[in-house]
Amino acid sequence: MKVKKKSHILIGLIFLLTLASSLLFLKKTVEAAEQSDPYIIATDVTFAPFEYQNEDGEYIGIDIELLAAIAEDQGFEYELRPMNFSAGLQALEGNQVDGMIAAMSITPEREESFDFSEPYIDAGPVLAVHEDNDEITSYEDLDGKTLAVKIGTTGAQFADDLAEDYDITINQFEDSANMYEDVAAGQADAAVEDYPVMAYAIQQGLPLKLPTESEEGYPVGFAVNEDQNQELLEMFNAGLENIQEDGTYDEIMDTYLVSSDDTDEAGTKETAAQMDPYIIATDVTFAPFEYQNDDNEYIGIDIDLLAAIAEDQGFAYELRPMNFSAGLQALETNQVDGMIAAMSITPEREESFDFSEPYIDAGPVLAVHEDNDEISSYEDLDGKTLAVKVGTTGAQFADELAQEYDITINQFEDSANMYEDVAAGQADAAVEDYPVMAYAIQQGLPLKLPTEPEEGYPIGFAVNEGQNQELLEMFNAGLVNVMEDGTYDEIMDTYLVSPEDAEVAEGTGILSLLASNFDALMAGLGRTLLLTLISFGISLVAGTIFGLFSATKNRALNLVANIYVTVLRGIPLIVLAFFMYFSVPQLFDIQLTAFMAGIITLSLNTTAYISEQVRGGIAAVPIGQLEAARSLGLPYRQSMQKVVLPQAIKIMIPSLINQLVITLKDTSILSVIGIVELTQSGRIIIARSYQSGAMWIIVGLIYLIIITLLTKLSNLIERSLMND
Amino acid sequence: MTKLKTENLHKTFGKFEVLKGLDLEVQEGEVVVIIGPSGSGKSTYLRCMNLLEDVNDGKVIVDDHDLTDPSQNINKVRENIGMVFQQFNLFPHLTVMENILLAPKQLKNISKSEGRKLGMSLLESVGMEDKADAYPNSLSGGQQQRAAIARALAMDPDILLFDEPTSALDPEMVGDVLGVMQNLAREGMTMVVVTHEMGFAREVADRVVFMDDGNIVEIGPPSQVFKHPKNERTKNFLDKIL
Repeated sequence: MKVKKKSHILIGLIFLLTLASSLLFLKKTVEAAEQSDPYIIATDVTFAPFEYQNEDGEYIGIDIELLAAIAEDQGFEYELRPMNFSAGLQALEGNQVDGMIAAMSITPEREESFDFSEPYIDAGPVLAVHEDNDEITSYEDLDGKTLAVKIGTTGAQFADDLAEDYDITINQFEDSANMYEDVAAGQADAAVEDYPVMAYAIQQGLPLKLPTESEEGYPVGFAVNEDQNQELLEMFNAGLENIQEDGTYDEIMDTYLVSSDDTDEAGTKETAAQMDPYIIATDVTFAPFEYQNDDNEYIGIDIDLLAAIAEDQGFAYELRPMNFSAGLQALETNQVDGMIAAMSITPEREESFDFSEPYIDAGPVLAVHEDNDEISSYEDLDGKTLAVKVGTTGAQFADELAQEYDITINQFEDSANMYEDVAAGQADAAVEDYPVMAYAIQQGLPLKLPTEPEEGYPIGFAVNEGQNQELLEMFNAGLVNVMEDGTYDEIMDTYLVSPEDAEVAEGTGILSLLASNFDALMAGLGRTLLLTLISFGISLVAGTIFGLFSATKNRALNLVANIYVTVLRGIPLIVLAFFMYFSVPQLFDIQLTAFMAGIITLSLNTTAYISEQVRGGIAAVPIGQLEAARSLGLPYRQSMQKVVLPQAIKIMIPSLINQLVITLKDTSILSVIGIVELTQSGRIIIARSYQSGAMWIIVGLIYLIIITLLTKLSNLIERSLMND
Repeated sequence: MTKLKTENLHKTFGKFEVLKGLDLEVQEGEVVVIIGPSGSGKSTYLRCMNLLEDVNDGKVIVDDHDLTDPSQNINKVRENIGMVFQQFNLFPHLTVMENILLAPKQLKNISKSEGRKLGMSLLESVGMEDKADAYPNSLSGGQQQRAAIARALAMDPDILLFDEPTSALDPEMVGDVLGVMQNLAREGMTMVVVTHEMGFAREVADRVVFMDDGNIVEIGPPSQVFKHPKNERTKNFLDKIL
């Protein structure tokens, strides 16, 4: 019996164990099921820069992006549940949410109820001064100064501490905005505020900067309920460590906060960019990536992709077509926010720019004339001439080839010219990215590909290093989306597969070419005339002033005019244009549109020449004329105005007409900074149609007709003046 | 009464001393004719009298105004000193009438009708009333010079300076211009005339100044200078041209 009883107990025990283990198992499965469900994470409704809604109603902010990055890194799913901060604390305590990320300071009190992650930011107070204030660089410099604080904050506490050490007047405010204004307006010399809040406000355009590092304060962390969701906490900590290592953390912080060393620079510019549409540079002449169709709309892989991504991500942008190399410079100098121009992601470029995920891969390929059977390998290039486009990977590949073989390289600013060089037999071969070359040949270019394409760098969208990171992120996110929803494939099919597209059916004769591109050419001509007339008008006034300077007896004015003319005549127009567009914004921190830069360039240049003509015209008026006027008692100014200048102008008219013609022709040089005037319009049309022969005749004739008409008109004016 | 005076007037062009300390007093209503060989500094001297040429040293005093004083408003003084040039220097882009009225319009703000009246009376005085609306290029040299005299009179000056007024004229035109000048002298205009017209000097001048090598060599009434020159250089010069 004893044994039986024992066995009963044993059976009972086994039963109990089984039950317990099965219950445990059951619990485990339930837990597993729970784990595959998204975690519910509470966050604050609005507490910039940690969490707030953007214009599209999406939640953004440090907490939101940090959580997203960590979740991606750790591969867990979550669902955000924005609620009031205190409601969030209660929800966490009641296990209604699994975690909470809401700029939560890790205080000793809270640590009793919750388990915190490693801190991801420190919210200590920091000192801020006006951006122009170079006087205050340490706390000692605050002696005798006024400090603005917000009542009841740790910043106010810190200010009180400082006031014990130094002679400081404290202005107290009820809210942050007024406190900021107090400093911005110069009433207070500095403000004290929690570092993230202050850094974000400066990022948003507040004209303040941080002269010192922030103080230590309570750290901010992610929280779960005590002893709950420990695996989530562990994942958060592991993910935080990973994203801090791979740079994602820094990117997020850079997006929202301005650091104490690069304060003002990033601040105002990025805010402006966030409000305005993004300016995106693209190449003008790089089919199938970007080119204009018959209706002068930009189309191409890059253009359509950008449009699709912008739509997907809900951001506004403005295309700015310019030469590829000009685009690179514009990007580097922050003239544009991003650049999409079939841009290969090379290590060199990665040093200057931040690239998106690649959206296509394109290695360079060799192309020769379709009748050329001589060149069938790279060795055959020995002693030959190779056409390349400046600044492309094709050009780099050509340089590499030139190291092995005796190759002459012809450099071109755009693809169409490069193709023509080969088609016309001036170069034996061209090097170009494979999709571009294949597309061009499909469009009827009489070239062929004797070799297989090289493996190349992938192509990506670029922003300037450390700038517009949010744009880059949106691009990447949008790219993933358009790849998933099939839009990407549609775009690639449009440009890379089907050769019989609308743009093939363009007429080939000069007249039909003119007819189908008339609007584009007239728009270009209009811009050419506008540039000419505005610049010439400005130069006429300024040139007369400088000319008069050099005609007076005043040595100082002579010198001013002399220096101006020497400098401006000594700089080639194209260099001046690049200087205006690329250097001036960097040197003086002003933004110039290409058109403005063009007007200034042309005016400066033309003024120098007109000033010399005015000087010569005045010198050609006999000295007796001035003497006769002065002997009548007329002052110098009136004598010049009434007697000398009217005669000088008549003498100058032929050379002024000449200068007008030169200025008009010089506008074509401004195409290098992306102004789509007549010459650039021609280039754009050629890039689409590959009919450079006929197109340059048309463009040349338009210039000829306009200049002839202008000269005739000027002669009429001259004659009517002479008859006076 | 002294109308115009130079005191120890020095003028150099670079290192070359053109005028070597000239003193002269011109009385009101007096006609002074300056004669002398080419390069003697006659024209430069005349041009110093209204400061068309800067003076290096010495003084030019007109009606008690020292022209060489930097604070002197030279334009105001020049209104009172008309000047007639060898090459006329009419303004070719303006009609004769516009030439005459330029200064009065700019400086005196006279009305259109007043101006026209003034212009016509001046033109009448030089016998040019029919050429009021002609452009200078359409006139003969003599007509241009008479128009230039009318222009020089437009601001109603007390003094007229003549810089070889007949040297650029065809011989048959010289008489007309001299006639106009003679009338002005008769009306009591103070005049300083640089000329090679010895007949004019003899008949019209109150005093003749003979200049040579930047100096005033001899000065006196025409009868004395022409008939009994004291200086050897004056004698030589007159022998050559008479």
